[in-house]
Amino acid sequence: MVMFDTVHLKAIDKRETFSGCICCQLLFSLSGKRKLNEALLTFAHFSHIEHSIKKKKQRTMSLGQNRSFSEEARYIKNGPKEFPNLKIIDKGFVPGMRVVGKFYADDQLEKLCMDELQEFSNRNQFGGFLPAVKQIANVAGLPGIVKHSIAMPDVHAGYGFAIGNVAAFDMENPESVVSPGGVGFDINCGVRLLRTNLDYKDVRDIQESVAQALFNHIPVGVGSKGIIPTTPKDLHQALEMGIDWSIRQGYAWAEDKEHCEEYGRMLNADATKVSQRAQKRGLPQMGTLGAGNHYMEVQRVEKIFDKSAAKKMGIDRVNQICVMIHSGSRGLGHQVATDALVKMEKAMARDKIHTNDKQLACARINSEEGKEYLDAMAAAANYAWVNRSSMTFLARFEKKIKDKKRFLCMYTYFLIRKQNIILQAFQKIFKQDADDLDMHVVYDVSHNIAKVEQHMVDGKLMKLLVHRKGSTRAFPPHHPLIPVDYQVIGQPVLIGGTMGTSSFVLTGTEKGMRDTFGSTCHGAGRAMSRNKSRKTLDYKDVLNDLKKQGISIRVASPKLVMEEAPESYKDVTSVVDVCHTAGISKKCIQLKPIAVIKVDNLFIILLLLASSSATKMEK
Amino acid sequence: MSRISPFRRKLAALKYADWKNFDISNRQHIQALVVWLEQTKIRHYSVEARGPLKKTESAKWDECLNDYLEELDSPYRLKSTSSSTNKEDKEQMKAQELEWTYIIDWMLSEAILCEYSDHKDELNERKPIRRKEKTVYELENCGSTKEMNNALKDLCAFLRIPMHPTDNAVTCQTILTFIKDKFNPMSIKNYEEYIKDKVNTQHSKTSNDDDHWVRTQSYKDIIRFYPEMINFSTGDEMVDAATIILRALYIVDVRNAQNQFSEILNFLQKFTSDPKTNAEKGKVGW
Amino acid sequence: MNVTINWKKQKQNYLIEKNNKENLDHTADIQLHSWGDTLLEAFEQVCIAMFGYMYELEDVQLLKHHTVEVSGHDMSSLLFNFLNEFLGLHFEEDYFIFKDVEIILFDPKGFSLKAIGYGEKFDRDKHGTGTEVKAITYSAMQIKEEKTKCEVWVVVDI
Repeated sequence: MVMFDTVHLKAIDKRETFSGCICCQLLFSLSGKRKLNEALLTFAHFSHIEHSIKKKKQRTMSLGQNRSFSEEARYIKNGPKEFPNLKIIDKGFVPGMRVVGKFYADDQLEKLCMDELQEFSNRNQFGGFLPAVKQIANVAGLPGIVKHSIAMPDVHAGYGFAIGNVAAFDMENPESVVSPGGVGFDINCGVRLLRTNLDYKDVRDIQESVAQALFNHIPVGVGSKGIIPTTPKDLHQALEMGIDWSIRQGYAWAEDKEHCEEYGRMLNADATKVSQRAQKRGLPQMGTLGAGNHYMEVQRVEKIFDKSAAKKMGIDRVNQICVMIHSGSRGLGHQVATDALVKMEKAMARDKIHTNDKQLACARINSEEGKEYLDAMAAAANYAWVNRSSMTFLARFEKKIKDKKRFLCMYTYFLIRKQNIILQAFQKIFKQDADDLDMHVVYDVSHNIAKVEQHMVDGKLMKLLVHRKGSTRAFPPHHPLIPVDYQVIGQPVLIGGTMGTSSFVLTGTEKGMRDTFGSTCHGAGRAMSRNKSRKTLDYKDVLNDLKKQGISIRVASPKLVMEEAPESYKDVTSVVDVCHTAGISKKCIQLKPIAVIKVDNLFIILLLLASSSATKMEK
Repeated sequence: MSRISPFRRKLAALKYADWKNFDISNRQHIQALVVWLEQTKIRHYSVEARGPLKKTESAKWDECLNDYLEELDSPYRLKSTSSSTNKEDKEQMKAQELEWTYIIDWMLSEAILCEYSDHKDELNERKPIRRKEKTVYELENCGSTKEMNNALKDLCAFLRIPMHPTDNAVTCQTILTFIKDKFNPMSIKNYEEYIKDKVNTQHSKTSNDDDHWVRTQSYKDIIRFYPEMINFSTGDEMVDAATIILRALYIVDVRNAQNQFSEILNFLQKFTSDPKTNAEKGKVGW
Repeated sequence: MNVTINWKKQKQNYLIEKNNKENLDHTADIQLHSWGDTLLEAFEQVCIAMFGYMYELEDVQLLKHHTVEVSGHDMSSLLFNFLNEFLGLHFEEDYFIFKDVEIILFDPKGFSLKAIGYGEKFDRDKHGTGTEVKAITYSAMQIKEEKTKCEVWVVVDI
């Protein structure tokens, strides 16, 4: 029949599949008109097979085996002139990109990214890693993504999302997804800065002895336990209440709350969505620092770029002493992320969501799994705030636990006790309480989190789920969600440095709000893998370099010095400078560590930075 | 009754004689107000036509009012019948009160609009009150003279805070708060030494300083001195300046609210706070 | 299962013979690479490699054991679940260190397996530690299956 033929031809035109068409014709002639339905079905089946073959081909393409480095590099371009340091990854770099990818980098940082890509292109099929630029592009292919997938200058390869990647998904779009990979394993990993009214010269004389005492008394191991006793019931409440729990129990000051992102509590948290295994991991770790790149530092103000903004933060002079805590939700957050990943993998098959990378597991925001993850993530985030508050509490060392017996016990604690000892030392010597020391929280940022926010996109107000992984929120002045004290200057952004390098305080800007969904960098970001650091760096050189800078160092094992040596990280100063010139945030204060307390499972490093420059200045 | 009438500000702006005591649940008050508004402000009817509206005792007054509202193009009408029927019924009372609230509020806005269009030019010509023209009131406690006033003026200039144009007591209060908030506690304690060192030099300085806190007279100065307070421009400098002022006021408001929250939390902490640390838990390994 | 009989001695020897694993570079994390004659062997080895990264296994004695059963919907999800289960068990059982892992049932078509892990609880005074593995990832996970040699790559988050 003629009619059938037209249907048939249209189908052929559309699909452009010849073999399918031939099969179909064959079936037509064989089966006659009555079996038309069957024939069409078969046709559909054949074209489906071809389609999947094509897809498979595309997939292999996505791993980049079929393209050389120079071909790949063509997709990465410089941004327009009014956007300095912006690089654009064009669509087509990986299959299925819905929006463009972007990243901020100066020449040096761009080279690091391109080297990574080159290494990837040259590698054979097995044993490869996805470079950061590929990951940024993969994220751009997720359903519901808005505007662009954008990365900060400290970007480096992570799992699923690159670390330093920001992506926003439209809450109104039913296709939109939430991805645990876009938050990271350490949910609500973040930085808190405490100010004191001490001066560097007050501390300098005792730092040597404090350091030695600490070093003598710090044993450490996997399975470090906190000294804040927590029952399962406490944990349940802490997960739902966040910093409010700390305030209720007296671990935090009421004033701390207003200087925390989200006011220290995510309201949608649901502790029942956190698995038993996760709670079991979280229970003993309350108030512990954690391993890896987490640390606590006693710092002094090195430079003030923006005097009036710094003053608003209670930092008004060079050499003022601050304490920085960089920590997260510990094992609990990891378990929440892992649990979600397993569940979402199944949901993806059900909802037919395709991603280029298996680690990019995601689920529709409105699906069971998506909601469950968001609630559990909020609970883990609350845990992190309680955790940082607990450490703050120990740092402040309230009067209640100041009896002698405990003092002696505490002296031999590890982990958080380290800072405690420092501050006990402070307090002993200055005979002051935390109150007198004016130990207020300047701000508390989280750089691994997904949050529902409102943004203007192309002149339209949109409700977005913003994933920030290794990226800090940086809201501009006058934004309603930032504390009243910072309304005029913009949200403070705390950038933690690495062993021996500077840390920074930045403030948010209007431009950042427009271009990056109000986000900026989070730290230095690794430039070298741990193994590579160990292979290429000689620990003697590292130690000598530190010595030259006037840094004396006590190390339990040379292994960690190399893994965490400044050379293994991107230069935090240039990362911050890129953000500053790009206008996505503004430099405000530079801090230099005096003492670093860093724990890796076996090794504790204590750096002692007898900064020569400060001494010179005094003279 | 301590409930604050929501119309107070509007009534006061219209210079209604009894603005302090106006009560929305009192029918006489309402009727009196409606008549007064029509007679003095809105003047929709001619003098003769106002007759029915004035007859407040009449049973048809409600209907009359509805007609009146319709002619004014008001979106609101009086629906429930006169209040004499069911006084016990609380819910009905409430509904009726709400109805009245809408009507009266709308009428007041209308009246203000009329008032504004009547005196538009006059109002827009008004200039900021000049400091020189202000009258000096006697201070209750300090006994006051021109000398006192001048001293306060100097102090304000020194502290860079604006002076209240009329009330010196307010100025004193401001100075006190300012000192409590901003001064280094050490300098308050050792003020004698501090004064010895500083006052003489500082005094001569202030007179030469181009001190914007005191001399902020025009809106242009506000924009010039506080650029960080505004991140956009409406094109009208006067509106921009107003935005800055509103923002500053908003920040003060929120700060006060935050302080109150913190105070409450601190107070509650006395009952709930029970921080524990357990030395035994710090042990590693088993 | 009957395999528990006399396993201590066997296992000690077994472990010395096999050392088919290494740690590879990854910018932020660590990649474990293991291989063996069969996929089964590669799986076992990659699990041991994970614990080897966390602890110094020489000092660990084989005192207790735990049995796990896992399944997946394809090979990589099976591997993920297998490692995840052991890591979870490690945290759940007060930091139980698995020095050796033996897969006793392996169904490559139904994607399920049953394994026994041997070791003892962590003791700070007794055991040396490395870096804590926080989670397993799918990132760059690869399973290469050939007739003579099977290889497995897994990135773990540290």
